[in-house]
Amino acid sequence: MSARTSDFERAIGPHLRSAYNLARWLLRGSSDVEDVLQEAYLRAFRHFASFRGGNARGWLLAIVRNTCWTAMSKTAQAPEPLDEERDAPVVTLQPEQQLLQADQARRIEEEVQALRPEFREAFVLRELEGLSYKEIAEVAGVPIGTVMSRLSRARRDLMARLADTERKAS
Amino acid sequence: MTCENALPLIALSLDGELDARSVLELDEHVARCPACAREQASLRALSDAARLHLQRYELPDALERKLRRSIHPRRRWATGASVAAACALAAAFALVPRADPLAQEAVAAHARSLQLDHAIDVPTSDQHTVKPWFEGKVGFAVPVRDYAADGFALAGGRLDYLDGRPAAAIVYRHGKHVVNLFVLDASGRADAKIRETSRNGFGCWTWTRGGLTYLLVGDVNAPEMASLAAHMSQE
Repeated sequence: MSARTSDFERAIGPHLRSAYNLARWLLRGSSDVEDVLQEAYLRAFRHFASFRGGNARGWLLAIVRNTCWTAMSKTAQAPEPLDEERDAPVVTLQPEQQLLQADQARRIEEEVQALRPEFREAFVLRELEGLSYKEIAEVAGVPIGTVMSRLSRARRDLMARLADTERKAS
Repeated sequence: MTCENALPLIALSLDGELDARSVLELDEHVARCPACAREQASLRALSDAARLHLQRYELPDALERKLRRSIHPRRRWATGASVAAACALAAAFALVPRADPLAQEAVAAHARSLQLDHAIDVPTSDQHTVKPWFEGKVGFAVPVRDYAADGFALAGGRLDYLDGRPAAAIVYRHGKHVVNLFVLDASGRADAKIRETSRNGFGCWTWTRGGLTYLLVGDVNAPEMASLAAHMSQE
């Protein structure tokens, strides 16, 4: 095994799980997640020389993210351009709306899946991968302010939908 | 702190993105302001629910292996049968004298059978199953025997082509090695004793008897192969 190959595996190997999780959440079954991840992995390997140490997870996730977006743009379901400035609906959820009960899992998952990809990406990287705003900004290639507004919009949209289904159910 | 100042900080505070001093100021405000307290509880409930309910998809082991393997292209060849096939192919072109094109073909056919993982069309150790399987496929009666007593267990049969004609390939296993006995019509050639074209531990033993030409090919050590060929040619 060459030194480059073993360096690559040492740096990237621990983050393959994060890469897979992000790809699954972003693609939502719209493309073959195995193919996309394979492409991203090879791309990372080819460009490993450009990795200068530091945050290997962020570096890999950025490549995975870009590969996912390219794959999504080839499918019919590319979203409308995003208006970053538009105001989100203001809704608050009551904790007693029992989002933590086990039977809510599926509903929450569906609503996250239904978010715009930009919002879903920010939300999943923050809540599931535990990335900081700065790390999300690096992965998504946008300023931190944009990350903050996307996260905020993601949460507002989720709350609005969850409150909505809550009302319908009751 | 006013609500207008406090509201945008609530999410930052929950996300751990707010400095300690601002956190304290925010907490003071939230303690006195029911609207901001509701906003905070609401955001916290959403975040807790997401972490509790949303699954972190688990990377399947098979995919992880596939990814890791993909940057070691040469390693794909490093499995038993394919190494044997690669060696056999090299031997087919380099080691067998050009003077015997049929032997060369037989070695190449042997190599293909390993490489394609298609050594056997009819997998059975029962000679009475293999023999009738060839009927109507090769145009002659194929003598099939088990040589388990010599250490070569019958593994099955396969239809192959040598010299542009259908040939019966009878497959034997010797430990991890596969040995092919090719049998084809001698097309008028007279009986001939065993001839050996072995090089570097890989080889072909050929003889003609009773209107059939036999070629025994494998990478088992030469003395054992020679002994097997001698035994076969006397039956």
